[in-house]
Amino acid sequence: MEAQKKQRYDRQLRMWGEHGQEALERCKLCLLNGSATGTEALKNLVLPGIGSFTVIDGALVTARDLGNNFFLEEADLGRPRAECVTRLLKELNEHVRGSYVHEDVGSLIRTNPAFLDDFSLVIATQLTEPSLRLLASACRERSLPLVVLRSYGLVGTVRVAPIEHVLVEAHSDNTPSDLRVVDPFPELLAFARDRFGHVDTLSSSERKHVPYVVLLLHAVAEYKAAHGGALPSSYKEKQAIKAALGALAERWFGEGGAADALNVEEAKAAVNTALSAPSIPPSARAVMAEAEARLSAQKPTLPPEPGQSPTFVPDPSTIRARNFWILAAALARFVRAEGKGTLPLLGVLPDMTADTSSYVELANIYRAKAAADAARVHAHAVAIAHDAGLPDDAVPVEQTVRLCKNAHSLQWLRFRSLDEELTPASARAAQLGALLDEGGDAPAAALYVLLRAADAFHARYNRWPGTMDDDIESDVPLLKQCVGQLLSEYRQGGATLTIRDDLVFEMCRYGAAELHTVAAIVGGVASQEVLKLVTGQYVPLNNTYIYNGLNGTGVVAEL
Amino acid sequence: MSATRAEHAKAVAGSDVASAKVLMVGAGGIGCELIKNLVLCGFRDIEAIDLDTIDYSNLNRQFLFRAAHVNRPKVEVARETVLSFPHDAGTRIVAHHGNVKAAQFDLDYFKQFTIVLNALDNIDARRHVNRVCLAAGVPLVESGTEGYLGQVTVIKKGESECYECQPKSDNKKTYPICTVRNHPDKPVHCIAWAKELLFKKVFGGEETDLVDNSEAAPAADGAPEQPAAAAPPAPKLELQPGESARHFAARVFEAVFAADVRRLLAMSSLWKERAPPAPLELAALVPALDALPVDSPDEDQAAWSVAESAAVFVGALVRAFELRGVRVGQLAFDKDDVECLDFVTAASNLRSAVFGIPAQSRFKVKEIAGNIIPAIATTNAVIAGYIAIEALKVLRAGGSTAQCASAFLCRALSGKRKDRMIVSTRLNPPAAHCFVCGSASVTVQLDLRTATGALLVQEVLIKKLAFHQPNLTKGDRGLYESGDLDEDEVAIEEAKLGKLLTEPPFSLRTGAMLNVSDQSQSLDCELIVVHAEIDVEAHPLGFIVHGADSIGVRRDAGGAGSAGPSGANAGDDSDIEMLDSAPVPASDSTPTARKQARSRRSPSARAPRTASN
Ligand SMILES: [Zn+2]
Repeated sequence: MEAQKKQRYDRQLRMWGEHGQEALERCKLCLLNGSATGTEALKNLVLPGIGSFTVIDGALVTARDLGNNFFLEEADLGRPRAECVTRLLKELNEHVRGSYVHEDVGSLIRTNPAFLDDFSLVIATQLTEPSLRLLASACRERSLPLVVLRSYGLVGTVRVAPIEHVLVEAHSDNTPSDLRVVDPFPELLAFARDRFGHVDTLSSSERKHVPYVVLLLHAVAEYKAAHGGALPSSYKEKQAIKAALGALAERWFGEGGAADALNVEEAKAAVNTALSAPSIPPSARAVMAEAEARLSAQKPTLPPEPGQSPTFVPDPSTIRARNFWILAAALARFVRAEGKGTLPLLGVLPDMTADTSSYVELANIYRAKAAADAARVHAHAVAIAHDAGLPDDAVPVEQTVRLCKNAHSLQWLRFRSLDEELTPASARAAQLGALLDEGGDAPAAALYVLLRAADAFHARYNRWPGTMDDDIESDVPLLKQCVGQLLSEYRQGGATLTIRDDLVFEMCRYGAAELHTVAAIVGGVASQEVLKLVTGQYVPLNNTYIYNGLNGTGVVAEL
Repeated sequence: MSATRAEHAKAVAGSDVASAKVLMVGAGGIGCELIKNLVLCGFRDIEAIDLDTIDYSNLNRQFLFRAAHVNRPKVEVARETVLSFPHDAGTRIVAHHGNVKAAQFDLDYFKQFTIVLNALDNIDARRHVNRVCLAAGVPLVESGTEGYLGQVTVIKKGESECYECQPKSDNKKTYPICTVRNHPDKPVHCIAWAKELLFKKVFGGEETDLVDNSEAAPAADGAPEQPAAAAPPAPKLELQPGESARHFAARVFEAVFAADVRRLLAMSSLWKERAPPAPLELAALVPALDALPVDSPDEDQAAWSVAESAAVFVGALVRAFELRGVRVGQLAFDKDDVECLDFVTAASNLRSAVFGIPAQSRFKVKEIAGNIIPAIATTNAVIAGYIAIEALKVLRAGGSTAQCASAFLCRALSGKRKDRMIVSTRLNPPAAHCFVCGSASVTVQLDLRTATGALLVQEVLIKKLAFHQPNLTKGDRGLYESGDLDEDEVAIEEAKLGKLLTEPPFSLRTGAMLNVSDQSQSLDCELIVVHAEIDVEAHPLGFIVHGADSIGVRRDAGGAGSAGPSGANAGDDSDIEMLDSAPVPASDSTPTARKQARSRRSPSARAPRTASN
């Protein structure tokens, strides 16, 4: 990466690294409708350097746009909104390519959905429900991730809607302990034997600097010798190990002299975690099983390399997913073969009391073993790629290393489609019912139903409720009818929802206005999820975020 | 257009936003978003204070700034850019490029505002604004972001918890100075040495000895191995007339990586339980000094080899002289300056090589030395949106915080809070034990046999308790004064700092009850001084504060702008702190020696953090 970019992006490179940035810079983003909400989201993606964006919007700039959209100027009044916002958004970052299409999004989706083929991710806002459903199906057909966002008065929603999403780097705060004290590998045993084989002959100072890993190995070996090779596993047996460590300290330092033997204390503290056999989390198991199933079914998850097929150039995110599945299958093979049931070694040695040279040596032993494990995984990956007719370097080594480092937290998320969400037969009434308690006087469930009712109102009257000049009141009963219909649908789905009349009125009062602060918040949340999808790092929300500006709360639900 | 803004304001606030007078403190990451929100919400009377100028690394999120604006004051450019977009006629934005602690922003200044919005990036300025707003009775919306995380809360005297009611942890690391100078065992010690000692000596013209002679142990006959009094004065490291930058670099190299290391080796007691350091020879690492290319290396992610570090060490110095000439000698460390960062990375890695410590990449050194907190636009956008929403709620309630909430933007979408990405909670009531918004007293324990005025005033009152200009009295007797003083008075007050607390003018005995007041913060509190022997291992600062113990160390969710210096050292780069711990004989029996002997820890030192934007 060039120095200037490194400096510009320094604060975000620390979140997702150069590989995350590279993924971002390869993304071809499409924004459907450049309203305040749309441009607030896009701004947050242009700034960190998304590869390119295209705004498609058939609207002309109105006075209302000038009032809530920062990326417009007075002189833009009456001009194509797509053109105007693109001009100002491009100014934010000279590394980002921007273009626009002045065309009505709804009719484009109906007449020529193939326009989507040019993009790697779509953000949509200000669409009617029929257009949105068409769009969502077209995106699904193309495995194109879609993020829908909306701000409507004081209410906002973000819907994350790819078909599925895989991720290696969840950046979770808890790294598992992986010291292999229970089933030590030969190099570790050799280190303990060669450097600290005669623990009892060490000087008092040397004893205080025996790394606690070695103390644990020693204690476990003695336990096994005394118990016919059985490992300490129960709570009681682990307590016995702690007692043995205490006895060792007393023998070394005399009664009470062990107080400043920090390494012994560290060993005792680590007994509970370090003496558990390394386990594979269910989510990682599910990923590996799916990878092998896809491999044996020859599912079309392995697109050809660029160049192999002259007409089809897969998107970088497709390659990322393909390599994920290859690597997950390779991981499964490793676990079955070399790993003997365990994942590759993490290779990270935690802080511990030790003299510098033995700490460094021990850290290198763990690192080398982790590298050797990763090399084995990589060999499996090369073989799988080869069998699939891909070049041997289809999966870069650094991807293998990254996957091995994160093997515990691999994730495969599936997202419900918009059709599933919106069709009465498959709508999740119960999930919605659970949201009735969220948000006090204005439950998130009620806001969600009201937004859907506004869509139904629009489908019926071809305008939004509350937009008939000064006549808000007369739309209230009409919107109520729409609400009633939806509620009966949900009732059939098993959830009894009620919606207070004042909220129906509140919805009419909004008149489909986009308020800038709500647009900023919803745009912020949506762009954050887009970053997670594009970089393939951090866990995105699944699948709906409902912002309640009446009381400043936000909830996530899988609808 | 103003009709639609008014619509907005009415819809959201139901109040007269246009007549509200709002102060925004900080014009960085959150501030850029916030000022846009305020204008688009219909606020028409806005003042903003920020100390900072624009850096290239701001451009990934501070969207009101362009490359052409680099080095200009943030607050002025933010104002210009916002006003270049459509805004209501009569919108007034006043930009103050300065420190929020400056005398002009006094209590009366704050009192003119309907509400104050913090968009800050450092604890010190946050504490100051907190105190002034409490005193002025003005509601304050407080905020911060770090990576994907962020938070917003609302503070008002008597109604809700203030910024200093709750302890928050801080990752600010302090390292005993003898460890840093004489026997580092972690990369971060070497980085602290390179940035705080060597850099300041070579680039900042500070006269410090890089070796701590106090650790020379007494020999058997009681005579010090290397008597401190007889120690040769620290050689100045300055470019001599006629000397080339390359040869100067070679001379510095020899002085700090060879001669100083030999001085350390002579303190044999230090190496009884430690692996001794090994001096480096430049000629062995850089065979052709005069032909050495001086470009900054591309490699950022992997650590350089020892030879590469030696080459970068020379190269960075040569470039610094080429680019800055005589100004080398007056420079402060800037993490975004290539020469500064190359020099500190190379020097810390060479130091690591001397002590057998693993080297670090430049990327990592930058994070640690620069105290960098990851920052992106998305989080700032959400948080600034929430600040605006909370501000509107306060206005709607006529200045009351009754409708307000604290919001936390979370990253982890798992566990108990799986369904909440933004957690919203009621505001906590003020804490009774808070010496800032309550009337609790503070007790400080220190060793009256050795404690000086400087310890009490500079360490306890200013650094720990965040007073800006403390005045100290006992009964009707004035002990120490600061603030609006003339030169002679300043000299008198400074002279007091060197005095023991048991001596005049302090004449304190254990249990003494003092009063501390600070006019700039309109804060006073009772301070009780108690004598105690302090375990310097557990309390390396040399004192223990009760009643506000957690206050001085809070983990900061970084914010946005910089309207005040962080800490007494000014600038947000001063986060590796070193302490002068009392000289201790190097026997195994003292706590300090034990601490020094014990820890050889992982090279993956986590970055110390306190601030961001
Ligand atoms: Zn308080």
